Amino acid sequence: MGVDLGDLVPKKVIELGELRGKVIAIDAYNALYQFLANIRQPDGTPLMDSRGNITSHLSGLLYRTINLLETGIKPVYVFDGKPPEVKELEILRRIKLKEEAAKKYEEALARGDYEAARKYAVRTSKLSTEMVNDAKKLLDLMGIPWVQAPSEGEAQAAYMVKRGDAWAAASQDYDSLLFGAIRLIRNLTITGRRKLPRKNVYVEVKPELIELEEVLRRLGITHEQLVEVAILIGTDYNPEGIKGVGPKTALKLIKTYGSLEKALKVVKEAKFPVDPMRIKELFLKPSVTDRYQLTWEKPDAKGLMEFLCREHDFSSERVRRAIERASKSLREITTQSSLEAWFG
Amino acid sequence: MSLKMVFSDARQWRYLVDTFSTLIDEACFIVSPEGVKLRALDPSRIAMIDFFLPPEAFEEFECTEETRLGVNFDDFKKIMRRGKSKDRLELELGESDRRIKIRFLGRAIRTFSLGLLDLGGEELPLPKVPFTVRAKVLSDTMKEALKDAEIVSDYVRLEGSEDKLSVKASSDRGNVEVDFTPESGSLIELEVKEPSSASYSLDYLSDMMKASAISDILTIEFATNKPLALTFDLPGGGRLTFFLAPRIES
Repeated sequence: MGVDLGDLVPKKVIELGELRGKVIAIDAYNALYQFLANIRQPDGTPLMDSRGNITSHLSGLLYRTINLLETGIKPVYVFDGKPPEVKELEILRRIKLKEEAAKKYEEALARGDYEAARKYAVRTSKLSTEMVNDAKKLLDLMGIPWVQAPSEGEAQAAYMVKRGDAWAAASQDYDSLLFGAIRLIRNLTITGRRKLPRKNVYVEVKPELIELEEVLRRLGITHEQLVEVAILIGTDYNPEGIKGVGPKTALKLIKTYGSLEKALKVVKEAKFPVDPMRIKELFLKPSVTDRYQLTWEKPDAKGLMEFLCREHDFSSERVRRAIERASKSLREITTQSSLEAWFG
Repeated sequence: MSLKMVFSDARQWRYLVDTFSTLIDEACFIVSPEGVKLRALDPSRIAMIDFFLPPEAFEEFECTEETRLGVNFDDFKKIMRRGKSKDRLELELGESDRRIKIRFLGRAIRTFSLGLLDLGGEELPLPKVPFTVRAKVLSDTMKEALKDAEIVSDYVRLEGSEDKLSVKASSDRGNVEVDFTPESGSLIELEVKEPSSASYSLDYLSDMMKASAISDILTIEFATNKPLALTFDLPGGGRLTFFLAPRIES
């Protein structure tokens, strides 16, 4: 879910081509959930193999990753680890939402309302441990690096960007900005023609670049204050936020009083599930690791055919073509240099 | 701040703008009493354009202070493609104008106006490359050599040795080799500090070679596994240089 910074954040629409040659740390769960939500049959049933295993996420991961490779992007997927304890409330809330959606999905199916069924089906999207392991296995076979975050994936991605190992983090959520990522890219894994939900209208989705420095300059606050604004709005660690406080009010409060501590003395009705200072700490000093290695290897064609076609019933013709595209673009990525190295 | 430039052959600008538009989406012409400059990187930072045209290249050149003309090349190209042979070209920007007037002076006087973009940014540095090979060749012959190479591959290997410059391409589809020697008549000058070779993307090279329509002679400079510079001499002492980052096999 993440914090809703929405309109506070200046975004710049960019072309995928501008990311050529750059390492992008992709929020793996975020991407997999999007594939799971979008790659479905009209009545909302996800893609499945003959044994009933869901494969929407694998299909999305395979083809979207190859699209990124073809534009010259070097993707690295970052997987969430164990969530911090304070996230418990948010996790429970999500489970409840999914249970409700599942019930409504069944009801819609029963009355033959496929449009509604699809809407609710999308909300039931759940990633099982097995699905996540399949995704990691697919990445290994494709030669694409992935990193296991000790805790929050977005914190790990932000850390990699701060260290300069990745150029930007990619996610639909804004949380990586709170974790200190200097660049965030939205819409990376959904770029292209997209159907608007429940409407027969297509829109062209383009990637957006958000630069932390520009955000702070525009808002006239420090990074620490941005985290405090987020806490007032509501984060994954205090999903309810504060009643009546949206992005604009939150910004105004922090700018007027200077800090969360002082602002909370004024907003007396504020209630938090945990000490807000602890939430702040989680964003400013998250648990991350530097034990990762980023290399892009030649795809394992035999392994991919075995895994995707034999185990999960993908069309062997399509997979063969995908492997060819992946191998070619990988070669391109690893050989074409950029002029940047010669500006010194 | 006002400026006016008249160029005798509208088609030459059309070819220039066509070439630029294959590499960049938008960029800034900097017009000053010294002439017109443009320096831009393509979005993927693999290629760079460095262009200069002195006042002498124009029939008429009036500019009192430095002026930045930020243009969208897709839009600019569409207008410039309307230029006919024998048309003269006039570019004019009035005091406090936000649009530049583009005028073709031919059988009729056709005036277009193009909105300018506010493109900031400091001047880009040029890549620093210690070139070890410098060759002057006929640009047409080079264009053909690259077309030959395209039959088998997406990239070419340039090799410079004491007595020749070679363009080579190979893949499982076959091999192509084109040699430029002084005897063959297409190699006008060759300076080799040490035998060198490097590979470059044909996609980019063929885009750059579109400039051969306005210049017969091309100077190629490169060094082993380093960027390439292609320089076209333009009329009136102008010059257009492209830089291209190499492909480095690991």
